[in-house]
Amino acid sequence: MNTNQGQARVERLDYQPYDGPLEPLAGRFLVVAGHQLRLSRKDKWFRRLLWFSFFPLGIFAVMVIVQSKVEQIGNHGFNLWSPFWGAQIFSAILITYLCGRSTIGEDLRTGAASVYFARPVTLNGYLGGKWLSVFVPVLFVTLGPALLLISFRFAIEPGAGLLSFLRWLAGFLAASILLSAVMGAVMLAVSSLTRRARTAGFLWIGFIIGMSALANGLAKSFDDPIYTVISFTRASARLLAYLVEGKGSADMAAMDALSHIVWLVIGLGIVRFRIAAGKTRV
Amino acid sequence: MILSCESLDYSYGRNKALAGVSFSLEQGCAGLLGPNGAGKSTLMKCLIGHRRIEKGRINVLGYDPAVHGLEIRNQVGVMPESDVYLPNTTGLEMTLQCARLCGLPRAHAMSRSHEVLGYVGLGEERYRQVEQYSTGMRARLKLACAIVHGPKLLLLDEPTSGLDPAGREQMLELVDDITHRTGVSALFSSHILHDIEKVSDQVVVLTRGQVVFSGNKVDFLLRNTGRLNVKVKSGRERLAEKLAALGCKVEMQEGRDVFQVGMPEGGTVKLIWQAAHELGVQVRHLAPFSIGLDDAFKQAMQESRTARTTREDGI
Repeated sequence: MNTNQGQARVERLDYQPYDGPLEPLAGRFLVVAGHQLRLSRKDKWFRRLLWFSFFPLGIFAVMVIVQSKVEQIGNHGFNLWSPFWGAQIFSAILITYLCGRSTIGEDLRTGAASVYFARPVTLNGYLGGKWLSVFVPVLFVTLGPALLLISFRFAIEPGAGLLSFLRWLAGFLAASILLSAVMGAVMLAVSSLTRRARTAGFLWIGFIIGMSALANGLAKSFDDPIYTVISFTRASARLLAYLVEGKGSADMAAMDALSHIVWLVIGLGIVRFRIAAGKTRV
Repeated sequence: MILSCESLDYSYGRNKALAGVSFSLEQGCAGLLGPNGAGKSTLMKCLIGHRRIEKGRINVLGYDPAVHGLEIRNQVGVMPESDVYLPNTTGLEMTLQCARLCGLPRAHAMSRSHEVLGYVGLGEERYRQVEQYSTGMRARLKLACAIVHGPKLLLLDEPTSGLDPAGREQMLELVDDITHRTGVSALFSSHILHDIEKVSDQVVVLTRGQVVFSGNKVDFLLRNTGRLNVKVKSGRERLAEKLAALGCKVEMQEGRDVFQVGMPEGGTVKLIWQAAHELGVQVRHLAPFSIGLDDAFKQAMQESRTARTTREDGI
């Protein structure tokens, strides 16, 4: 006989004050970032692209094996890093499109900003969390495959010493962090310009293409490669080539790094202004 | 004292939204009453530090919003009037995120979210996208998000806005339960007088950015009356005539047994008893005249308009 038959669990439905523990205020930006990343994770294309970004790794791993068999090895071999980084930049642009287009604009559309700011969250905490939710995936798709490839090359290539490995590691780390930071900031700015995720996505792609076209056009018109720093994707490719392969000049590399910083400041400035303006309407 | 404002000024450009607002509230439920455009929402935004006031002082739970905005928002639950929600989330996810933003650890936030969603009456709906919610469900969700972290003070901006009569009553019951059973204080803004009358103990009346009245609800109802309801067994007309001769203002209505007597300056209830005794009239009912909040509010608005007109004429 079932002695529990007829017994029901009584659920307390009255309101009781909360007297449990509270986390410190400083970590609220992580709550913002975590929520936004969970929303991104719901998108199947986002999940697929995270893993698709490792696809070029297979191709370049084969190239590493081939190169190691060729008589002329090491730095005298064919260029590996620049085309690899170009592929990763492409993945970064796409992943930024997927995870960043709904960060700010959707919040302004639904009034979510007022939900955030009615809680103990600062403007910097909100923006920091949103920025982090783009920075982390972009860093994953740029640095993740890079770490695997440089480790593989270090293991396979006989002429690759520890110094070469460390140089590659430092170069990719710097380039990935800079690129991820800039893409996060600029995407937030683009997202804040419109209240629709789809429009923000189109604006982002248009911005990337337009920026590159402008940079190339000016460089050809004035016959001066300095104008290519206008495009942070071009600047990133050239910066990596200098850091990892020693191509180009230190002055140009400094300009490329500066390009990243300028775009970072511009992006964060725009989004901060737009959020502050949006706050007054909410 | 849970909240106080002193000579508060705030403007939207050249438009003065709040002018010299001063009041204080004790623990309990207070109604912020005023017509559309009176400045109720603006006042609430100033209380949590979303608006920088031009002049004056605010004290919310012992904190100044201009300096301790974060501490205030940690202890205050806000239910905004506008339809706001986190995009692409379910009701549970939104409540959970609000709890996490207020500092609750994840495990506590999850159990707490389920508790408050059950309390406000969102059952299986909590697993649906907020975009699919009806107006009533969104209002309940906003309330759940406001109370999930156990605030000491609730700021409810038109919580019954857009709700049908049944939904309004349920919302008022929830507010009444929270404020009167658990000791949570609330500032409840509305232009619906019935709502304020039902749940509030204190009233602040705001019109054109100025406080017309602030204090106990009963005092507001009895203000400007000084009148008494009188009911007699017989001889109503004789008594009324006698009282009128003594300087009282008598109002009788056709078909009603009860009539109102306005006392003259310095007059007391004894005047009525004496007159009734002299005429041999038996008094069956004698009590202070109380008007509904509706009439009291209209009187307050009228006084405010008169005072404003007098000031303008004086200029």
